[in-house]
Amino acid sequence: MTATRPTRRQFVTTAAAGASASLFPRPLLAQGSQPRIVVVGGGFAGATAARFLKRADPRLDVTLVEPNPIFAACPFSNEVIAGLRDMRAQLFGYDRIAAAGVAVVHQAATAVDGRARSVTLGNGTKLGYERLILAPGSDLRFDALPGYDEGAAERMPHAWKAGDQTLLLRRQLEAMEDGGTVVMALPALPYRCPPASYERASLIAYYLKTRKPRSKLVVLDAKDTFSMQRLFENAWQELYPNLEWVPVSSGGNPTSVDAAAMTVSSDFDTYKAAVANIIPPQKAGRIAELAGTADRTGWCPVDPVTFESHLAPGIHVLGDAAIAGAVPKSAFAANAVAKICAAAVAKLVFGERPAPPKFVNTCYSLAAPDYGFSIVGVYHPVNGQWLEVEGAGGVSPADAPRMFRSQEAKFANGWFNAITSEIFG
Amino acid sequence: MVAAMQAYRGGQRPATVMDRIAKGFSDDEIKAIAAWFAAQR
Repeated sequence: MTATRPTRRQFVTTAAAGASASLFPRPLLAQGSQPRIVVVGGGFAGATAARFLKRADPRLDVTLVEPNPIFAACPFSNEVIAGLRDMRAQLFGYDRIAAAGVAVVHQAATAVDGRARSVTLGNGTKLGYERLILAPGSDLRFDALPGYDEGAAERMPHAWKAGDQTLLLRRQLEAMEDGGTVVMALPALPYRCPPASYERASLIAYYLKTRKPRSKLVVLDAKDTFSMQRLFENAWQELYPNLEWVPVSSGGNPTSVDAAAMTVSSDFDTYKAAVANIIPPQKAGRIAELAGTADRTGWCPVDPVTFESHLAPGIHVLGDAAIAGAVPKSAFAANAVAKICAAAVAKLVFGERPAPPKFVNTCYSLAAPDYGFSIVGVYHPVNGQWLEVEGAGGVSPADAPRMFRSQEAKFANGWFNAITSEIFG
Repeated sequence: MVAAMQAYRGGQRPATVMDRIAKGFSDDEIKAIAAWFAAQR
């Protein structure tokens, strides 16, 4: 027993009493017979990891550290912004995860001591661990785009973390007078789920077309190319004459914002916005940096089989925060790699070797409520890097009939229901 | 299941994403996946 153990046990029992029988004090077992795993972050990656660790081996003592009692999912939040979906459809609780035997602690993780193998929580409690899994997602960089800080985000929402920001952007669009210009600013790679920014542009254009027909959308982009570009551009040409995409080579690179004046500047021009949606550059969530797992890029290099940090042994990094070769920063991939990591950790703590993994990512995007398409990749590790399996994957056909698009829109909904019920249901 | 996955992979079975997914898996892997699902019953 370490000195931190009784404190932790006591804290977990009081904080989450009644949530699960497994939280009550258990008979003391020999050290090592019930390895302690702490997972920080209760999003798609972390919540999956916690649940699948317990499923992989019920002997594991798994704690999930997540400050928010309710999770707000990003996938489909673009539909909330466009007024096509209720925010309540995005919200999930942790009761079922607790009922599966995971100790769920609603605190922020504020520090990690990799040498002592302990995590400090916002209330001062220290949790000891044999293995730590960090799944803190992305943080927005408020030092990267001149003029765009946390205060500016209250007037010019990013809505790149689902929740209040999603609803703020929704309310602004609703309140905007017909004829106003909506300006979006998109960053360079890498950042959380890049296709979602083009889905958002599409669905905002859909909202304007149907509800504010004299308004238009200008998308200022720090990129010239993007995933599923042909599919998006075909849809825009067909559906949205009100959408103007300005790539970096046409001067679209966003260079600064002025939240008081409601202007967004690019290399060539300054745009007056009635509503501005600024998606700033991003980095791994703060705790990843505090734990010493982030490199100079702000993201976390990891081993592809175990997702153990290259920089901090005993600490695994999952989801958006990780640099994992070709693996995209998507909820689908976060869920898949969390299962791989959970299986690996369940082996490693007992001194066994994890099996070589392989997984699928499928990202659906909506260009309109009944107009969906997808990109698929199959991934495997080759010489320490995640690579796509050649000859597999790819995007939806460019020339498919509209029926195909509406089917994919239905499957997108099906995917969301399946993944959220697997994790939170 | 093995037959269905092979048909997706070969393009004989209509699909939106399963054709693209199935192309990433060998016969042995498809058999292993089917065996795992069979064992869940």
